[in-house]
Amino acid sequence: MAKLILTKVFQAMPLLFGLGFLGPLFGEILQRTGLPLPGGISPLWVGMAIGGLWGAIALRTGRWL
Amino acid sequence: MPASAIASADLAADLSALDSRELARLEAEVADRYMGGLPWGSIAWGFGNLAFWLSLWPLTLSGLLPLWAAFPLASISISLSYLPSHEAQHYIIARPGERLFWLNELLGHLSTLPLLLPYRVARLTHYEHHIHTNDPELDPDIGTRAANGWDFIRRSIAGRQPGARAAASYGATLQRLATPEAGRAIRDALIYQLFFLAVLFGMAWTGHALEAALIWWLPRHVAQTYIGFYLSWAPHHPANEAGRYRNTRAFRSHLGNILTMGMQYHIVHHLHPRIPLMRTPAAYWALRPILAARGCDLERL
Repeated sequence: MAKLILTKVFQAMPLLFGLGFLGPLFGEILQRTGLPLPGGISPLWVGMAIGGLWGAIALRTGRWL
Repeated sequence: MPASAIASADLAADLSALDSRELARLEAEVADRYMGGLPWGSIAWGFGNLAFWLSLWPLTLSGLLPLWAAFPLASISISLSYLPSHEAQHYIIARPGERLFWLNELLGHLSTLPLLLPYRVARLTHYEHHIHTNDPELDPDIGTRAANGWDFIRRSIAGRQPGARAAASYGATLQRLATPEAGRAIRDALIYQLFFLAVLFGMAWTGHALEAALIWWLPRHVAQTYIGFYLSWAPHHPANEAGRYRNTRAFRSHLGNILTMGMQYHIVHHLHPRIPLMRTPAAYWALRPILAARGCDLERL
């Protein structure tokens, strides 16, 4: 059971990494640069969108770059 | 001329008169002079480097060290984290059953923590690399084969993509070995990965994503590339021969001995893995006439 769960987790890792790490990372970078975001949207949300999308693409294609 | 007489003779000794067996005996005699003793330099390097890398976390989080400075320091530190473990993998500090074996194992386990390379994984896959050097199917490091340095960097990045075969080569090697020790190594790798992700995710969601990225995540990628380049690609290039005297080469780098982490002399390590890293340059110059007689690729070194 544990093996199955871990297999699923690692299979989905690009998406999890995009949401769990890259999203907040991009959010922090946006916040530090002080770039004005449309509609007062939070840098974290923008970061999450970028990280999540990139992770989803990496999950689908098997490549980050 | 007896082999022992040549062993102490001038480096430029003409060995062409010796047959293969005499050359082997002479090589063993010369190599033996460089083995033994406790490599304190590597021990201090391994523990000191880990302490240095660990210190970057509180120094950065407390604001004493700027992030822009922490990143190159962490990259250098993680790049330096492999070789002390490599000494331990070959039981150079102490063999099983010897008094200081615990120190050998402690150094092996701890020094590669920043690199996120479990000691058991490193040891088992590295031994396979020694046994099957340049074998396209069985050498776990064959993924570093590349046409030139730039091609290596491109392949190294490509090899770390989620779907890349090279990214799974160590796991595949451990599964092929299918021993209890290999099973423990796979378990270790799993624990390391989960711990790494927990740290990255935890720091990211507590507002320290940049620190995690610049002290561990990105420096580890830099280190993987640097280590792969000098420990694997450069000494084995072009990596298309499998013989004892042809699967590894000596090379001269513009960066010199220290910045290439002693790998210009890596051929000595493949021939005599129990010679400590810091003695490989001297051992190389002592062995060079024999290596030349064996037809080794010694390039300009």
